[in-house]
Amino acid sequence: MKSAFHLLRYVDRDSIVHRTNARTKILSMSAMALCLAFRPGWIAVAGIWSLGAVTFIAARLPVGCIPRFPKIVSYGLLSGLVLGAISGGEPNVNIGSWVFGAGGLVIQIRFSLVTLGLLFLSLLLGWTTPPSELPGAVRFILRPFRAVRLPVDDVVTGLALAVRVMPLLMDELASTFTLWKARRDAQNLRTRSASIPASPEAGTKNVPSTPGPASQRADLMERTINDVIAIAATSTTSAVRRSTEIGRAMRAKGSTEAPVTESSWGLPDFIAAVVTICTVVAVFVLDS
Amino acid sequence: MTDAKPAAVSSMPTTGGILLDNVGYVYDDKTPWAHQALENISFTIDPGSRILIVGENGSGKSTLAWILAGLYKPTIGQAIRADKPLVEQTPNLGFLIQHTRLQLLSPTVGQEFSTFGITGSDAQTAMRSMGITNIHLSTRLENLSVGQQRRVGLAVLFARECPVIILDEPLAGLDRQGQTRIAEAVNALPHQTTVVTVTHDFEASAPLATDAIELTGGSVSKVWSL
Repeated sequence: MKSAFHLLRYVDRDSIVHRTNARTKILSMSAMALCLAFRPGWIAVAGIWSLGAVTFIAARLPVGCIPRFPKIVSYGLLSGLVLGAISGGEPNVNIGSWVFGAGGLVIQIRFSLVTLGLLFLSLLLGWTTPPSELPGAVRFILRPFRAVRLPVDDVVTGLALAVRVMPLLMDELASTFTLWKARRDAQNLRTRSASIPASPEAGTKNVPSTPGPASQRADLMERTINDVIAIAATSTTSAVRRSTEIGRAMRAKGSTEAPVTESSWGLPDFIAAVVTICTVVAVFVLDS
Repeated sequence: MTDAKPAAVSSMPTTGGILLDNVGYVYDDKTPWAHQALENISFTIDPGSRILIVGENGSGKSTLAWILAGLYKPTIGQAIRADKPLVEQTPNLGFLIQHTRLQLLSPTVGQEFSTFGITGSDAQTAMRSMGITNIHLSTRLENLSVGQQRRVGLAVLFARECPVIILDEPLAGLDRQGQTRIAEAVNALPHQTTVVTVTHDFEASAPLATDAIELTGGSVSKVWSL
């Protein structure tokens, strides 16, 4: 409920990016991802971020929609940078009499920027495209693969379910996580108060004797691992239940097929295609 | 607000009670998806009182429950108890949500009690106090019905001696017999325990409380004694 990470949440604005067809946006993103796969250098990174920044401004999106990452993601990125820094490698940087091998750090920074750049493009797609248009767009893009017997309709139906279930699931996961934190606080309070005289409110009656610090740490670690497994199991169960409910509701309506948006190509699509092609060509030319 | 003067709910601070002072809550604040769920909520809940918070879907009652449980910090205003914000008192604020299974994370009933350092005999005592006689500590939680899970959840809160217990839709999805059992369990809680029940079903939940607060559109529209 309190999630700061808004996946697939549409921001209602009137802009050229919002008027661009979902099919065009997905194809542009795919082109940039392929470009990165073949030319994973600094120029491609700059291309992705430039395209993202231009799209963000053109879509007239407020800064408030940029997500605040959970601390664990920030710590993950930071620890990656630290590991990269200590791994050394070319090029060497002389800092006084000390030679610092910056190769690992440079690779790690580039890797982080690629990851965040692709995530940013995905978020842009969600902010500027009504979720209900995505299954139809994917069906259009995957249509040629029917020739090789790819179950396109099944894939699209799965996506339609995922799009509907995602917000509910995110809410439920956030609630479960909040409740787990409160539960952990209550556990910790009882553990702490086991070694001090009972307070009238903390409910310290019947608390068993306190083990040593090392044993407490091991116990805390074991409890945390068990809780993470329990949360994952609970969330999976919840996701399956929600999907089943929505699948039944879709079938009750008479069809499990996602609606297809057959809107025609327009000027925004042409501009988006030109910008994307120019970016991809520029990356290949400059990086060759 | 009505002219009624309920005994347990007032706008005046009470020692040891829960004070909500001009509380408001905005989901996704400072984002394009910002949504005001509560505004200008001010009242005091006396210690040991039994309060019902009722309202239509979307009236903000569940958000208020999460604030009273100390799990949401009000966007504006303050929610305090004993001069401390509720968000700093979560271990003492028992909270039971409608989908109780999401918060009972242990595999068995006994392990759920032992998670909080409650021994087997005390767990048995708590279960008996809540009228649970046919469930063993070795019973797996997923094998219990929704009503049984809620009563086990209540028994855990009872054993933890939480001075404040918040119940979010405790009777939802239960048949008449299940509702009666939950009501009996709630009424078996110690009289000094403050119990706040949040529900959209006033008729069924009325036996759980002595005073009621109605929310409409995120604000208190009525306060009365039952």
